Amino acid sequence: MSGGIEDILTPTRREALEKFLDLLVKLNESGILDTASDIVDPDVIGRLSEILLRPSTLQILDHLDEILDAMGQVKPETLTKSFATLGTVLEAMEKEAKPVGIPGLLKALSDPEVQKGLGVALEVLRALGRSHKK
Amino acid sequence: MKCIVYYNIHLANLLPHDEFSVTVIDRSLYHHFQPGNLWIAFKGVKKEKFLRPIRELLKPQVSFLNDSVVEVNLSERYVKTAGGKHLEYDYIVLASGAELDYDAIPGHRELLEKFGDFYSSPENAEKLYHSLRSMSAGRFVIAIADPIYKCPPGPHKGAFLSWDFFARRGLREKVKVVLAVPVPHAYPSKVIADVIEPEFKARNIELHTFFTANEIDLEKKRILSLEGEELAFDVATVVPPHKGATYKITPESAKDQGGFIVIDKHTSNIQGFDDAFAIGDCTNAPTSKSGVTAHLQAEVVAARLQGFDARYSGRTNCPVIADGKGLFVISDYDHPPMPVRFSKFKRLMEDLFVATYWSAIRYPELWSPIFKAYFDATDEMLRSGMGW
Repeated sequence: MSGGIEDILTPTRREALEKFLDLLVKLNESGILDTASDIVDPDVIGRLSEILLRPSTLQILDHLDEILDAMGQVKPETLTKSFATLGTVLEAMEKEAKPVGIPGLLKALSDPEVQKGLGVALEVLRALGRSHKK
Repeated sequence: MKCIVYYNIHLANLLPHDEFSVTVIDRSLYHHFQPGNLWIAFKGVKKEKFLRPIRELLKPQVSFLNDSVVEVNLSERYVKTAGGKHLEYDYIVLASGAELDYDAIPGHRELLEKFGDFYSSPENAEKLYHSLRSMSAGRFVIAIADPIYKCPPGPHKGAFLSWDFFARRGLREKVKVVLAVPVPHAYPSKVIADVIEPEFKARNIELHTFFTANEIDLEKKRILSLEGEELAFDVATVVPPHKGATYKITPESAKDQGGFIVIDKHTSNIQGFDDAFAIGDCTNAPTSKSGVTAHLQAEVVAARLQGFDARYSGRTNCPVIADGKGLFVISDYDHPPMPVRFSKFKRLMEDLFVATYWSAIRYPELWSPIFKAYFDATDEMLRSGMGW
């Protein structure tokens, strides 16, 4: 074994090894090494893989570059606002709605919130029409 | 239980070593990652990247014998080697691959010696890289001598990667890449051919169908086909006909006329033997001759040896890669290849597979659950016909 370790431990390797050992000590003191040792188990890896590797996730990942390109065309502020609106709309859909006929619709049109909503719907329809023309 | 494995590191590492005493026999000291030949031939990657000592890849408990098998007697349960060893077993798994026959068509061996190829060995892939580097104009032809060959998309990958090789060197207009196939479309499956053919057209890769290479005239630089066509080349490579096992197996009925070992396509049992299996390219299983087939069959055999009723579905996952994108040919015994598209993600997956190959065969306990989840998910896509 004479000279073995010295041959392997060049100055650059020694520096890297010292940093790595310091990191290992931190990981050990914080309990991360024990946790990692328990997690690296074929059953846990299998269950995690089953959740992540599904037909739906593989389809999304396969189109990820195109999805990101498409999302990049929308202003982030618009996207944030739209998510808030979407949340409110989805909550409204949870409510039990009563069937509405023509008289009920005419009565609802006197509600300022319905009037505002109708205005937004018309703007959306205009944008859809413009986009379809292109 | 004494288990002999003739070439297959993955299977040997999968078996629990407290239950099985496993011996791997291999005529080489090094394991060669065969798809790496494409990287050597068309990207100039050093061959050492795709070679690893077998001993380092095996778990410490697995014994390794560097020798060639000359006879397997399934009735008497023994193996004889070229080195004079006589080994008895409780179970045997043959994974000896297909033999490449460069003497089946005239002029083929001379062609291989002159230009190399991306099929046989890292050394020949290196030779092909130098042959391509020497080209400044002309025709690079890839042809196929028999419709049954390992890695069915291999020639297509060669066409795409060589096109990229010349394009990067500013030779797109000067060097013509030509692919000649024995089938009516670019790929045996029309679904896959319909995806590949527009990509060939976009790159001006010349495609010849119904062309089974039958003779090579190195002097006149012509490849003649069984169908009577002739193709001119400046540099060429031809995928050779494949043969089954050349070592003796008793009883002789264990091999078909081509030398391929006759197995149950689901369990990999050699016909008539509960204690003998064959996997990968050496068998007559009606599926692609590919690494994925051998990998999945190895998992099935390892499970069956431990008493589980595992069955191989005939699943394939053959990658086709072009510049920056890829796809997988996914099928099984009951479903033809499903519709797929080229994507950057699939190319990334193939690159990751190449990068993790050594780790995957050395540490199956880590990688097998991940691969299983991928195969289960894509099996669902195949069965539902949703495509990918």
